[in-house]
Amino acid sequence: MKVLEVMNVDKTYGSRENKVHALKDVSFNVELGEFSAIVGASGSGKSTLLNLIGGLDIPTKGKIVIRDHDIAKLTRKELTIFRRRNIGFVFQNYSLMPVLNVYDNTALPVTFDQGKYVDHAYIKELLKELGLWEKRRSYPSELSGGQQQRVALARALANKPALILADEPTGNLDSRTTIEVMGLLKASCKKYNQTILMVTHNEAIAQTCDRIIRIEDGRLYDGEREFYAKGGEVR
Amino acid sequence: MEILAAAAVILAAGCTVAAWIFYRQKKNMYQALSRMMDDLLEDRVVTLTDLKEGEVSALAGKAKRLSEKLQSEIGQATQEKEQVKSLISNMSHQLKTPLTNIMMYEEILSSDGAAGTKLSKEDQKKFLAKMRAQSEKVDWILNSLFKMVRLEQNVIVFEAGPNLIRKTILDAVNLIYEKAQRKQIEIETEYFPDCSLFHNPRWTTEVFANLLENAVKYTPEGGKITIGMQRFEMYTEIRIRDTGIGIEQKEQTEIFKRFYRSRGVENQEGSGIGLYLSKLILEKEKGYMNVASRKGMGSCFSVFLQNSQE
Repeated sequence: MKVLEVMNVDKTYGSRENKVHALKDVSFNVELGEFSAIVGASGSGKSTLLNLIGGLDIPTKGKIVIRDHDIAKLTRKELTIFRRRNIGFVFQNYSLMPVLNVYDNTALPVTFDQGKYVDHAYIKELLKELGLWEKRRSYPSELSGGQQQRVALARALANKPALILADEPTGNLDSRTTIEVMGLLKASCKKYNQTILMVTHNEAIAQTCDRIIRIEDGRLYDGEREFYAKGGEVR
Repeated sequence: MEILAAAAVILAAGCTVAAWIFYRQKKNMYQALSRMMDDLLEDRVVTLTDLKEGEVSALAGKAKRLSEKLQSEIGQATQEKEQVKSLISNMSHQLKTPLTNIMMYEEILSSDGAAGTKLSKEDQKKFLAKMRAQSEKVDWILNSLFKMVRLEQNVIVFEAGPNLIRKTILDAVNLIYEKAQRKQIEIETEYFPDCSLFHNPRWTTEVFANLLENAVKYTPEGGKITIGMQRFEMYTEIRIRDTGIGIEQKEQTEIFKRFYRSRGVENQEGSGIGLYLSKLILEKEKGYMNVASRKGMGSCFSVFLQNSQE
């Protein structure tokens, strides 16, 4: 079951001499429950791709379809609601609300959508799962980087979105906390059957994903190498 | 008096109108929802928009997700069917060689004395031992295949809980100790405080035994295996480092896939199940693993398990 379809997407910025061809004929699908990594050097177009998928920008050519909605065809208002209900974002710089505590930050997207009818039990489970329940009354400024990113992850999961987009989620973290955030991303992907698309330039981090999509110079090159079942002879 | 009566009448009329409007709204909402339910029941795409503010639209969003969940479950079932198909063809391939060998030994043993050849007692014993080794191999392959299939299809639900990790690792080391000694491979443990991690001892022993067995298999004689650990806030890392042949960078993601065997070691014994099985087990324990390696320098597998929370 496809959650995301990217079809022959081109993206150019600027015009004439200043024209930058950021993406060239990019196509791929993401299945439900898949944890994929988009890997590429800086400037390869991976962030552009993520922005297009998140509906933050519109492709010059081609189509992006998420859960049967062509996102280029939505009006601004529809796009906002669509994003709120279907896409969870995790950014490199956490982007938490400094005036809200951990619990309220997590419940924020649900509050937007459904008023005060927040599924408290689910939020509690999430926070416990991510080791944040004891810290639920703390404010972002009182937390370490890794903890803040965990809150951001809880917030992305709170609305049970169809797709979680993570842009270098461990970019600002040291290797110790990276381990934590990656482990939790992976565990929650499995537990809640979430689809996650993560952008990273770190090969070692991408290794833990189900699938690697490589991008170079705005072009995709296939991450799924042929793999052969011909086992070693058992003697 | 008359004014009061008039007021009462107006009030009553107002109430009626309000009630009527309210009733209409409720009916509209009911109809929209009922139509949506029909869509769901008839396996149609939900037509109600999920892109507007408001309760009905939010519900439509959820209904769409519900139907998607159903669809995906159907899809998964078909996929599993395909998997079973490829599994069977794979299994027959895996079992072919040891079975051929067994048949061959059996033939040699039963032809004993037939065409004037006479096997010595010693030779007989040798062939019998070989036969047993092959049978054990078949047994092992079948066992791991069963485990893998049942884990994949969530038939086995094992209980993971807070357990001390040292014993788990010790059990695994004991399983491969003899093999390591035969190859004169030293197993060294770094500073290793015992701690309680979220795991199932029996299954996790299997993970570590797999990793250690690989380490022994792919490390030349006289090599060294080091077991180390490091505590983090939520996870604990257990490292198994060897001085073996190493894994090429481009293969480091592939080795965790089912039935994958590195081209370089195709001739060595192995089934391409071990690492995949280990990965499955760890996923059920909310853990994961990765590898850092350089060709010719050795590999380091790291297993991450969650610290138990008090």
